[in-house]
Amino acid sequence: MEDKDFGIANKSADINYLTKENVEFSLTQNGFVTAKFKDTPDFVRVHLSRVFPHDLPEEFISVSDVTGTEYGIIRNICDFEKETEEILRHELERRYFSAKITKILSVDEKFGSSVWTVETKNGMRVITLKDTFASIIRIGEDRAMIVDIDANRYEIESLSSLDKHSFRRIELFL
Amino acid sequence: MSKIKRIQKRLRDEKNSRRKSLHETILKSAADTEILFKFNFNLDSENRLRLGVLAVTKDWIFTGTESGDNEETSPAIVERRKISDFKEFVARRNVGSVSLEGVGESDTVELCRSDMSLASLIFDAARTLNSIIKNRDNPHFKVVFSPDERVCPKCHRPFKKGSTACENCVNTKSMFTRLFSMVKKELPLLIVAFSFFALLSFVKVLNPILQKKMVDEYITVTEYREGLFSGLVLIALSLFLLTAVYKVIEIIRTNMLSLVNNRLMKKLRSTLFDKIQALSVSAISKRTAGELIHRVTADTTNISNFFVNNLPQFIENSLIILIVGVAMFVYDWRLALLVLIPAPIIMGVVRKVWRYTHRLYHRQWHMESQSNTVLHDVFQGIRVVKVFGMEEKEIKRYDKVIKKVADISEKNEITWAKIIPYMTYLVGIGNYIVLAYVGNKILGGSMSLGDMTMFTFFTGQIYYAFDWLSRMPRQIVNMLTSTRKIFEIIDEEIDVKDLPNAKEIDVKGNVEFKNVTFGYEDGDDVLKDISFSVNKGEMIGIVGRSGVGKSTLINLIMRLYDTREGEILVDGVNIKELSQHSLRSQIGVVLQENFLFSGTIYDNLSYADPNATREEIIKAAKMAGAHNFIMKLPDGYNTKVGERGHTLSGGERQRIAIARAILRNPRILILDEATSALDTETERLIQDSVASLIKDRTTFAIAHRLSTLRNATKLIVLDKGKVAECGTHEELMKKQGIYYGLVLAQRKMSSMSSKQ
Repeated sequence: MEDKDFGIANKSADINYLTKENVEFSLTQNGFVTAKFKDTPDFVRVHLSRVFPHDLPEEFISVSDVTGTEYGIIRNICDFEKETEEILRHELERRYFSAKITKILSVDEKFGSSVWTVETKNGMRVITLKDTFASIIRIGEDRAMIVDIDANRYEIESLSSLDKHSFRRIELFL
Repeated sequence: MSKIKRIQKRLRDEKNSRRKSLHETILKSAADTEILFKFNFNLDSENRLRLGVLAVTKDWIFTGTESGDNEETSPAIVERRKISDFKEFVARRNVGSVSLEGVGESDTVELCRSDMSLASLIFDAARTLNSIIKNRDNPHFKVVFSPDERVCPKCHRPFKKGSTACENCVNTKSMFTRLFSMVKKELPLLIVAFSFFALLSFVKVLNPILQKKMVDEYITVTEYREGLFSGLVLIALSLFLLTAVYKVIEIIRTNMLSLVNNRLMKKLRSTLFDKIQALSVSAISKRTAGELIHRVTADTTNISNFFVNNLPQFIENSLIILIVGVAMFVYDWRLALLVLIPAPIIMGVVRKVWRYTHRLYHRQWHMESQSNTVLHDVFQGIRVVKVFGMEEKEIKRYDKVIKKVADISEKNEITWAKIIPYMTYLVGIGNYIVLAYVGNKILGGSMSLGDMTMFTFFTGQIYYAFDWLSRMPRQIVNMLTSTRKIFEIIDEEIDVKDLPNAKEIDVKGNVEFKNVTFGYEDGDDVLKDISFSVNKGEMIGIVGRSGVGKSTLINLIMRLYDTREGEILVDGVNIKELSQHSLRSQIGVVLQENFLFSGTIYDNLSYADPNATREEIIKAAKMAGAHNFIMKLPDGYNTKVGERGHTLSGGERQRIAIARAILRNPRILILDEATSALDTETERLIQDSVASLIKDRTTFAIAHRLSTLRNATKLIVLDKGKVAECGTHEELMKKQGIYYGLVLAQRKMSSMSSKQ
């Protein structure tokens, strides 16, 4: 992988890409992801974090130890064998939790905050937004992330695909 | 109950019953063993919504998790694990969820997982479990797990730390009661003002009656009779007097209301400001300065406005409906019915239309505020835009936003133009009814022209009152929104507070940290088990990488936050037993960025000691090396600084801050990167003033440039929240540990820069 060096020779800024050639991933008995690097003898527990969580959920995945020190970055999880790819995808889904909103049944404004009753892919939920406008984060033109009073995250994957009634209920806040 | 409310209730009830049965299952599994604490969680390890309960007994941890959505078909999976199999428990923050992990000798186990609503429970559980491990051999150890009791009985959401009410379930009634109790001192005056409103509504009703009399008895008469002219003059005079009385009452009422308004505003603002001052730094820093300013200014205005404008007007309009309604019925009950029955319907339709246009204009307003944000961004960062040559891109960005604003605005104008004629027609419909009915009666000879004048007046008055009342809910919501936000601050528990018998001592300067552990809010511990002691007059250098907790440590000395565990002693007394004022008044602080208040240099210096004489101030400024530059300013010590004042350079501000600290003459001195923002030359100038300042005082210094700490009696090196090394410069250099590494790295850097 060729990187621009910006005319500066600085080894510490090089991205250490993790590929199937230099790292091996595995699952512990209790379901945690571990990795064995080319130059280490044992499997160690690792954490996965998305570098660009909003637009590249399966590319540029940072792999670090439990204290947060980065080992390297996976360019794309698809570059690994099918089985490893599944392990990585599964772990990312475990680490990033946001219920996907499919329908908005009601939005009840109450003294500056609002209570939403929504249907998500995980079931029906009642969520409270402290400051409705500030709680809705637009991602591009068509997506929106909603952060509730407790810092739970919800996602509307496509605003344009919401049914007419659901859209009208939140239109004012977008 | 609406459909949505029913759904919400059903969800709540279902959850409660499933939770109950899970608790029973766990109790059965734990058999007769005493459960020390238990709590609910709501996700399984795959992030699926599943209810679960975790219960801890003396030796075991039980977890019960539903295996599926349906309680009948998917029974709970109960697991138990021995506490002694784990060496540590960790609450791990994922993105949107938190998990509790037990770390064993060979592997780690995830015990439970929940979304962020229960995050504080999981963090508390990890802490409690760790203290159980730590105190395994202590027979007197008592498990304290308070959060489980602090759950809202209505929605089962844990209360936010320090809060006494559930943010999700606001009780409108109790808000009103509390608000009235806050304004009760002003109630007598308000009641008098309200009675003037009542008086006004009577005067308003008299007007159409007099008008009717004038038209019927004097204007439309065809034959001259004696006393006609004098009668007309009398009526005209009465109308004139009525208007005069109306105006006089209005003036008295307005004066009274503005008196109440000022008193109320003062009371609300000072209550709020006093409370904010009493809150700890952590509680205040949860909110932005802008938000707090809004609370103190705009929200208090909203509340006061409600009491002095909306509420009296509500009374006036309700009385008008009552009095005019009765008057109309007395004159002609059929006409009264004709006018009154459609009124609420018409107003309902009008409200609907208003609400629709409100939505339209709200969108426009929101779009405009977005375009303002773009402007604000670009103008604030204009240098960056120019330097990166991004003018074209910014022009396109702004064009895109203003096009949206223009489109919405155009659409709104068209809609508005279509709606307005119908609205006017709707609101005037009452007059058409009067005209048709009374006109017919006039032609039949059973009613007079004066009746028509009077009824037209009445209809206008009653329709206006209905229209106003229909807007009342919006005003109430506005007021309650502000009230809620204000009470949120007023109700906040003061987390760092003085004990009832807090001591005041003359600090000598001995400081001791005993097993201090601290973390912000629900987060992980920033400082762990910190212990060290400092004798009076010693200088302690605190060293470590950025974010390791150096500033947190000195904030704890000043008691800006309270420790989570352990204690800090000053001259052998726990600082929690001291009065905060007594402690802080004997601590001097020089920070990296020092804030100067709007005012003169003299004001800013005397802030440290309002009783300082002019001579003392000059002396302190001289010691801090500030006198010379101050004297070069045309206005000397009277130079205005701060916002809209003279801009001082970083070095100059720093010297003022040092002079402030000197004036304070503290026993404990804190220098947090006091000289790091300065160039080497200025730093050298200031070093002398710093040296004279720290003499004979216990000093805690944080410095990025390690060379400035060379003279420290002792250096404390923090790493991963713990004291990693402790000793003099020489001792630590010999040890060749973290400090040694940091010094070498800095030397390498300075030799590189000197070569360049």
